[in-house]
Amino acid sequence: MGLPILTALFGLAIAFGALDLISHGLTVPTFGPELAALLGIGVGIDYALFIVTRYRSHLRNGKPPGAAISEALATSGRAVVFAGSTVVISLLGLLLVGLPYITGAAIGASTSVLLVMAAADTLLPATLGALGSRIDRLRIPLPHRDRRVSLGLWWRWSQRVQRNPALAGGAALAVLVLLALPLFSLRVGYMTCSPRASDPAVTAH
Amino acid sequence: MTTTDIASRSMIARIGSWSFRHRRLVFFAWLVALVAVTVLAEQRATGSRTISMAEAPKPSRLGRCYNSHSQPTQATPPPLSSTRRPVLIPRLPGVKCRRRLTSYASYHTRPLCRGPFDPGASRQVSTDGRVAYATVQYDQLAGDLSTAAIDRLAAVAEIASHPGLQVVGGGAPVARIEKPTFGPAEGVGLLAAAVILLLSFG
Repeated sequence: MGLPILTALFGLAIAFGALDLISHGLTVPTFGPELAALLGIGVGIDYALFIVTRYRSHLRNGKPPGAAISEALATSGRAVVFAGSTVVISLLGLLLVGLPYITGAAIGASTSVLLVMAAADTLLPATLGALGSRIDRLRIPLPHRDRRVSLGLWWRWSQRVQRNPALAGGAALAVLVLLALPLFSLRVGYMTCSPRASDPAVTAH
Repeated sequence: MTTTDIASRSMIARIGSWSFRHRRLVFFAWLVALVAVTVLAEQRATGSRTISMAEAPKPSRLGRCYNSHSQPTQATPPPLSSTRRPVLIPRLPGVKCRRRLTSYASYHTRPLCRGPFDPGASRQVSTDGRVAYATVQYDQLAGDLSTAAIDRLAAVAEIASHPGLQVVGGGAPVARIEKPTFGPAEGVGLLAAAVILLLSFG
């Protein structure tokens, strides 16, 4: 459990330094570090967990550590890069807003995600290499931890979804459309100090 | 295609395997990156450019906004740093309270200090009259303000406060001198997160 946290925190520590440097060239809002930390810790721990879980699974199946990490990265590692790139591209979409402080926040958060993603794909394998097969040495001995996943609720759910893909897809789409409906009545605005024609009073913050 | 085949073809897997084999080099590279970024950031730490949302509008816009009130600051550069000060008023603002708040605003000698009852600031009082905002605009970025200047502001707030009138500072400058608190709620939250992670992932 500690490995994913350590990896994410290491990437995040560098991200904070990078954010400081970025703030000299771009306008970074005061919430910029918090946003970077929020996203960095969240996705960093997730990404590392994907890889560690897959690595453990391969170890349990009798693979040597070298092969286990290689195969874990070939599957989960690629997913991590894909997911991280998607988050970065989405964040960079905020540049379209055209506000300097939003640009700074987006670039800071993107840097954070990129760094924790890189840490998951390089620093984590190095740490796993140092630990080898001793990764489970400090594991908490919980009952039923090693029971077959095929007996789990989510395994049964996935089997049911795969048996009825059209029904499951249609139901998911219907729920999403229902949730998206309020978008059509969304009223957006922007805080401004420009006076309205009918109101001479101006509030500027 | 087996996972072993995928692993032999995937670039990420090759990078990971390389990191796995050359772990000391990888640790060293990450450490160097951390130290380099920290040192560079420290060297440039003389003037943080971090600003608050309150400072976000373009300077020209702010300048136009404030000039429209014919304040005696026409020649002043646009303000770049601000702190909003909510003032809690026990009852509907009467004459006495109004005078106090106006005089409170005049404590500041900065050109862009605005009390809640100043012209153009009518929206800075809540509808029930219990909360009002006075705004102090500095001509520097929040990160460039000296701690002494911010301390003076805090001292003024303390002087202005009295039973029935609470003056609270806010904004990026005040945040610089406020120390983050770590209370029981934060402790319980961290403990819960640690327990959940431990139980889930071992």
